Amino acid sequence: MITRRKAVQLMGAGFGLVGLGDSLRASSGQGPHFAPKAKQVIFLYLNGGLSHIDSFDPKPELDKRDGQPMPGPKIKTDRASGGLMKSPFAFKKYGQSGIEVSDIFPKIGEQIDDFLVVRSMYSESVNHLPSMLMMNTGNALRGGSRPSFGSWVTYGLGTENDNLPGYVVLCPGQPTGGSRLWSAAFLPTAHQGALIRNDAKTADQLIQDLANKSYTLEEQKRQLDLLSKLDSSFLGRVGYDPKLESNIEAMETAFRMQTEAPGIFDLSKEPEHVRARYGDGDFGRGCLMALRLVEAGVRVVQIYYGNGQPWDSHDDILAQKHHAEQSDGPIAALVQDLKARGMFDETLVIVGSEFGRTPMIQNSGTEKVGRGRDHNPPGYSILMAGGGIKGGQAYGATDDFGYKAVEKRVNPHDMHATALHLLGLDHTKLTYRYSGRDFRLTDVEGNIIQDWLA
Amino acid sequence: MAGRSRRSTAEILLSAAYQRSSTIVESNQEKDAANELFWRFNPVERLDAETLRDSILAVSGDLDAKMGGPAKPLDAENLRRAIYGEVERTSPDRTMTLFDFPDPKSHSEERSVTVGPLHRLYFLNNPFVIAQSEVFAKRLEAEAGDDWSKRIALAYQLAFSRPPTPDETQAGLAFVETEPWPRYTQMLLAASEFFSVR
Repeated sequence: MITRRKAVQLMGAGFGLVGLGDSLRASSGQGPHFAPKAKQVIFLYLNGGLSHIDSFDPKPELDKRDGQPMPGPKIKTDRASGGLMKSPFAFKKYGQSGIEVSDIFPKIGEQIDDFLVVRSMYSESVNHLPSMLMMNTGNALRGGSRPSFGSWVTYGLGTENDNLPGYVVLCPGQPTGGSRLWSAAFLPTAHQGALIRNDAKTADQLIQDLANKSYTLEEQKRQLDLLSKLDSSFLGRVGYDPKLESNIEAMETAFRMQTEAPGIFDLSKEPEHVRARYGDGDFGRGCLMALRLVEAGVRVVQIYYGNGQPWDSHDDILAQKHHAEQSDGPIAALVQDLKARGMFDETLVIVGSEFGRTPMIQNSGTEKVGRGRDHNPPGYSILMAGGGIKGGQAYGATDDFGYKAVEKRVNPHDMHATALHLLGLDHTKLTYRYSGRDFRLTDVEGNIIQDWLA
Repeated sequence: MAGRSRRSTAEILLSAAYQRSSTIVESNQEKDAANELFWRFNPVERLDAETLRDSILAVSGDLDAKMGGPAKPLDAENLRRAIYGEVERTSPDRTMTLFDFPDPKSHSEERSVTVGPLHRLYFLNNPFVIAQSEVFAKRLEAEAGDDWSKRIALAYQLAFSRPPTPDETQAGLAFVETEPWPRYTQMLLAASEFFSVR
């Protein structure tokens, strides 16, 4: 029986082949620029497009004008649209703050005093992938991918557990766009997200090739000693290369993951009453894994709700109710458990998607039910909670119909700038020189939104 | 415009700078270690998913290079080139996806390249890699005979297209003194040099 202790002993302080001090290792961060509020991030991504006007941004005007055309010039949507459509869901006030939440998110509603509800997000592109890239990398252009938010965070702060990747991405399948959304791009590859498909229940099934059925850890260790000689020799021949160096570190992490990961991903280690609140859905189990991963010192955990873009309710907005049932309880449970374990104040939780959905009914030839909504980048909502966030407030507003953000408009760059700020990173100073210039997550934009800060 | 960009692309690809080897030349290294003047090829990019799989098979000697015919899943029994692999839109091959095979449901103008612990686990533990390491070891035995130095020289020629340095030969000999050959060939396939374009 190989224990974790034994694996760590075998590995000692790593292969030591590169001969660099710990401070120069690719996976160690640059260190925060100032005292951080949050140490780690859990980014819950509802891919496809959460309908803000059916969840966290109530619009009584839609009830009054259901079926009527939206006043003003006809808005050009991606697909043909009809008149305004009221939300099929009722809103009610929750908590001390009295923030209104629709009845498909009752459990988040009960926790709403912990959440900042941003109702004035806007983005640029009407298509999923560019807007997903904007939310995750700060750049909507597809050609020449940019480092993801999570990669910038681990580049800035490093990770606290060398036995696991610093940035873990969970998805039952792959979201639209795939690995570009968690790519380290030109940053050292140690900072790229590691996708773990969470549609299985044991670590062996979750992580491909986690276990070796043929060799013992001691036998592997001797193999890796040889490998370190081969890699040093190659590194000597090609000269210093941060990508290769990351790659050598990645083997150390891989070796240690074999003994570390099975315990972390084994949800049966949680008591029944904890597991019950997350349910048995992929997203629910993902949230519980996220809790265990940040507890183990992983810097960034991102969960993509499902394969492809499940929240893309063109045909029938009632589909959002189904997805809310899968995510409402787990998100609320995650916040409660972060609090119960004393980690809420140091963990930044973000819940969001690439855009909202139109107040108008979608009216194109593709739908079968004809009760859907199209993509709505001019106005949408996100939630934030935890480390350094001032909860129990709704920030900004869309117009009377929920089409466009009009009050205190904020975009993904502002979200990124503020999130980095909470993590002790100055978004204007967190740079990486590539292709002849310094790059930033926020490019030349991004404002820290002071009202969001506790 | 298109003609102009084709011409400039051709000019870049045909240039001496683009076609240089990645080998370090000491005198150049002293003057320009960062290779800002492009005196050598920067060996950074990882092989793409298909090339990686085909290369493992080519090196082990198991590659079935037959052209044409129906696509089949890229399982351990399938020894054909990855271009003949079956792509199921809703559930693409997990190993291909791990090595950044693009999402078959959307278009992709560029491959992203990811290298991390999960990729290393593949070389450490994947049954296909372990099986091919055994085939590779048998090939060395069959083609280079009982002279272990010759086996190592052949292995380097096949895997890295170059002879081993004396130190590398020594490291290899010391390893196979106590460990079975397939564990040695597996590490050649796992080496950074194997999956770096250079």
